[in-house]
Amino acid sequence: MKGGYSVTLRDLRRYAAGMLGEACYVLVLAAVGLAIAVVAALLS
Amino acid sequence: MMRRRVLRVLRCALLAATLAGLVWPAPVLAATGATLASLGSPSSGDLVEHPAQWDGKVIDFQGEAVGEVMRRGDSAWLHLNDDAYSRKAADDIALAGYNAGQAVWAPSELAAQVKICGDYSHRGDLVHVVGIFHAACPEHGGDMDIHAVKLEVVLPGSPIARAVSGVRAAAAAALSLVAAGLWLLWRRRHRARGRAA
Amino acid sequence: MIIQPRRDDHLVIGKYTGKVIVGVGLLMAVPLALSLVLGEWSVALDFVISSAACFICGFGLQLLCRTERDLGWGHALVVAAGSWLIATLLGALPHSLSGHEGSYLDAVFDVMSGYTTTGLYLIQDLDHVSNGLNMWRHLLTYAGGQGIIVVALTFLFRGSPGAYRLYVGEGKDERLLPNVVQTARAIWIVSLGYLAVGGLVLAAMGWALGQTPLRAFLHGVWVFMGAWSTGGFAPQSYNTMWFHSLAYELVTVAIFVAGSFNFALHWAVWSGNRKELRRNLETVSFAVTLSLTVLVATVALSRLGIYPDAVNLFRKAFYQLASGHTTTGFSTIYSRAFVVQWGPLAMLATTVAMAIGASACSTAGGIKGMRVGVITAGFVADIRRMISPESALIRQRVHHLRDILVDSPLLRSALTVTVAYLTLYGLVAIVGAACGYDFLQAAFEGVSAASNTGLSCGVTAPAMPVVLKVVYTLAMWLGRLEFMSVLALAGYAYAMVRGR
Repeated sequence: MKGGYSVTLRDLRRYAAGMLGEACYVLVLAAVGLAIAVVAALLS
Repeated sequence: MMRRRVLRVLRCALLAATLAGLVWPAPVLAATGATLASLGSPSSGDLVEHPAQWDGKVIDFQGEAVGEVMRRGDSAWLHLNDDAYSRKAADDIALAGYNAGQAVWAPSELAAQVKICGDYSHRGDLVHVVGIFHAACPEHGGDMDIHAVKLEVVLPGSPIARAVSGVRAAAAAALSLVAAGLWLLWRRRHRARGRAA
Repeated sequence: MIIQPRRDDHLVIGKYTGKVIVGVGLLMAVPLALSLVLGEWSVALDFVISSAACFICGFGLQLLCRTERDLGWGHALVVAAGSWLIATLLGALPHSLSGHEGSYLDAVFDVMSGYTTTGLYLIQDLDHVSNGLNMWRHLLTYAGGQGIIVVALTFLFRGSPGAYRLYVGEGKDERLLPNVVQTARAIWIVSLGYLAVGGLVLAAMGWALGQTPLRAFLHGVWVFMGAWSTGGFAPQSYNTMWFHSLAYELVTVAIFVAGSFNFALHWAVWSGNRKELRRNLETVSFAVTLSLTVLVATVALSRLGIYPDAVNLFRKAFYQLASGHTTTGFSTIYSRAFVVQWGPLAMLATTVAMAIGASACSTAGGIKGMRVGVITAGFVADIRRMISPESALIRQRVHHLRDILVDSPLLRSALTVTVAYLTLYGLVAIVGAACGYDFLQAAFEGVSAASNTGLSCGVTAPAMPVVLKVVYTLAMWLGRLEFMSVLALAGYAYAMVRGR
């Protein structure tokens, strides 16, 4: 790319780790959502 | 130190519980002993507007199969559109109107009758099903669907031949020429300026 | 006194607008190539016509407006708003030529909805749309998510101060890296990285779910683009309900939540600072407001008893709410189901989620979690001051990449924009109600348009009043660019007429 932006293998590993971290955040959100649904279903 | 470890264990447990919760099988709808006597033939609009009225009832439904038949083991998903397009004459290839339809869950051997699904280059088979309507199907994550017990192709679909318009081809050629000319001019100016700078 | 813009101002604005329009023309090469590969000849022709029109406008403008001046702040704002408008008018050509739109206005509505990553649509017979046009629909939402200025910055600009001003004009204000062109590239690294992984995962799942390899691949790429850009377009009219799969739904949730993150947050996390995910003001604010709105919707739905068990309740409530809160607009229920099945309380929860929206400097719209977080922190500080002794010095901080002191200027700017959004929501809702729609539905749909979400409760349809189509289009534009640029453009037009 113009401007010299190269991506090394080490960068890729960091990116993948970052992506996984973000996926974990979503999993936690989903867990909260599921917990709410379970409680609501039990109560109704 | 200890607290952090406890927190980590808690976090792992939370994740594991989520995963377990997600793969836990939803309660499968008990095989219905409903009779096949249909209680009516509502349009998808009727079903969407009055889901409670039709929930759990056996209905007739007819529409154009679109997209594809997605086989999942011994059953399959298909989507039947009953919008204006599906009611057009067979040789009419013009577009017709807004999209409306219903998802249908059918045994694979029934669904296999559907050969052509509607897309850009095909008009799909017109399919008639008899089945049980679910406003929020407990077996399928609350999706609105029809579980078909009978399925027949009423009118086979066909490929749509699309002619390339001569006027558009000419317009494309003319516009491309003008665009190319402007680009060349722009590039010359750009280069000249680059040299000057 | 209003100063009339001089010839020089017109020239610099024309030149840079031209550059962005050329970028749009280049973007059309992708759907053009796809339709050629798949043998959709007449579609390919439509794209040749459309991209040639973009090049004629773009190069023509640059030839007419020759100047060496760099962009000032005012120019940059005008260029940002103006090029979004022209890119929309020209980008609507393929839609209109396809014959799937009721009118050119409908096509413009769809393209504005695409660029602004809204996701409302008026296109008809969507299930019969060509692959080329589907690629264009999704590509423009993907490009619009990064920002079409960012697209142009990446390829067509050298990093001048003016380039940074343009970038800000588009509603983004974070420098991921010191240089704005490098920042634009960093945004692309994140987006393309996700495209590669997310597109492949979705394609593999589609294949496993019974699609043919080619369709699974195309749908994977398109659904990814719709999700990542928090756009909400999908290739079939059934949206993401098409797939009838919990796993597919979860992957789309992961993609659109990631898409709704601040690009600066992505860059921090991808550079190794994973703690930021837990501490960041926006992720915390998003988690809290999402959980609260999900709670309200879930309680409302479980009272109505539409979804009998927990997994169904989760799949419907969490999915629509997460989709609404990230301003994506994917849905696994029919539009009208919001009205006939969900009822007022759950609709209200969804409306609030859409109104708040997700992160600043992301692909998402809405008021943004950052502002909600800052305003909440300011409120907390006021309460702390009230209950502390007078001599106590209260300093409230929020964390976004670093600790930021919540002071009056920060609070003021957060409140100003929030009030602007609320006003826009209110106005659009009133217009909807004036057109004869039920107020709750008008509010739902209006907030959906102005916050660039795209969930619909059935108001948006080809038969809706022309006024409403125009108002929604303007609301999407204003909401996406966060007012400033559009107001600058309006001011520019006014100054041209009335200035001295």
